[in-house]
Amino acid sequence: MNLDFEQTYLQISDNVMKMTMKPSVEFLKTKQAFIQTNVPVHHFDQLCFKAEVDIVRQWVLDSGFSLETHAYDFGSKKIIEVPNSNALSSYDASDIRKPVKGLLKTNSEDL
Amino acid sequence: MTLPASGAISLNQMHVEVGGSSGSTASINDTDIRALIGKSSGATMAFNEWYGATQFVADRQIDLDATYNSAKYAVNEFTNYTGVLGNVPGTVAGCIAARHDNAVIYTQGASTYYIHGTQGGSLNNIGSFRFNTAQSISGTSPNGSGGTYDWLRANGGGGTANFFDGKYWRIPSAFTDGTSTVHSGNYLISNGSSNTVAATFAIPIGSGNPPPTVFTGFSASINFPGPSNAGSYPLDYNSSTKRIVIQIY
Repeated sequence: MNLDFEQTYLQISDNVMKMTMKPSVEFLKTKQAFIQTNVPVHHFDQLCFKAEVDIVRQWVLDSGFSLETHAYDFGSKKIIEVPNSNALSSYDASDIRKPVKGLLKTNSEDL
Repeated sequence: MTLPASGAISLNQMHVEVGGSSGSTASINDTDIRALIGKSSGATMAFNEWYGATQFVADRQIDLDATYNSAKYAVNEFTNYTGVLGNVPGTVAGCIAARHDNAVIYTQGASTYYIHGTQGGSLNNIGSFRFNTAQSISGTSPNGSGGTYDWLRANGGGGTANFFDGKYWRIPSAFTDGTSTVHSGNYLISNGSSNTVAATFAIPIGSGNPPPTVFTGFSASINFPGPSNAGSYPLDYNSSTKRIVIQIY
């Protein structure tokens, strides 16, 4: 399934940046993450990384797929079926949406 | 627990947030408290800068540094891996051996995976790291002249090839207002997909090359030009230890 997105950032306060990812697919919702910015730059980078991954994983779920069988591929901009899906047992889908230190919150909303 | 986003905030709250005991001695200039908001020692600071701050907990990371003279690993899950540094497939001997540093280093309560590699004390132009595939095997192949040659190569090993499946990796980026100077992208880790490559590195004992094998594991290809080419290093690169980091989430 093709899925591209537009990604924008907006500093909304001295300490918080809003990162928005707007999907190219209509039935999926735009999602936002609020990320603490007054942290060391490598911490901020990892928070952005986590937010991006959390959001695409949520899109996979929202599209009706399981994270055990499907994943978003940033390279091809598609949700793909993961080969050898029975080998994915080490991946715990409950990891998603766990609170992340410094990632203030991630939510979704229609813009 | 995240510090309050407004209103009263105390030094004790900051101290507790970084793992200190409530009521114990602390200073706003303590390293761990400053680290909450990325302040350097002695910098001007105001309490409201700690609004909404939380203790950062790193996720899995792989650190590559040039401490040692051959590629090696220090992680249980990476029972095997092969590496190519600087496009020189000469690190197999260090890769296929049993664990070198049987140590898993935990920082900030999270697993941090250390994988060390070097080529002559430098990590310029790293080629790739391919995890969970290396095992020493040997054999013979026809040499095209009616005879055979002996070879030794890395082959599918006993590591946990799917340990990181479903996760993503990337090199840290330096974000500035949403853009980055070195952003290699986020790469999905999964068996049998884009990370399956032919592993051709090996040490021919005789002439010719051994037959290729198929890699099924986590392949991280990292290329950066280094100072000799006036290029950029990834964020977190340490020039003295030649250390870089791969993030996995």
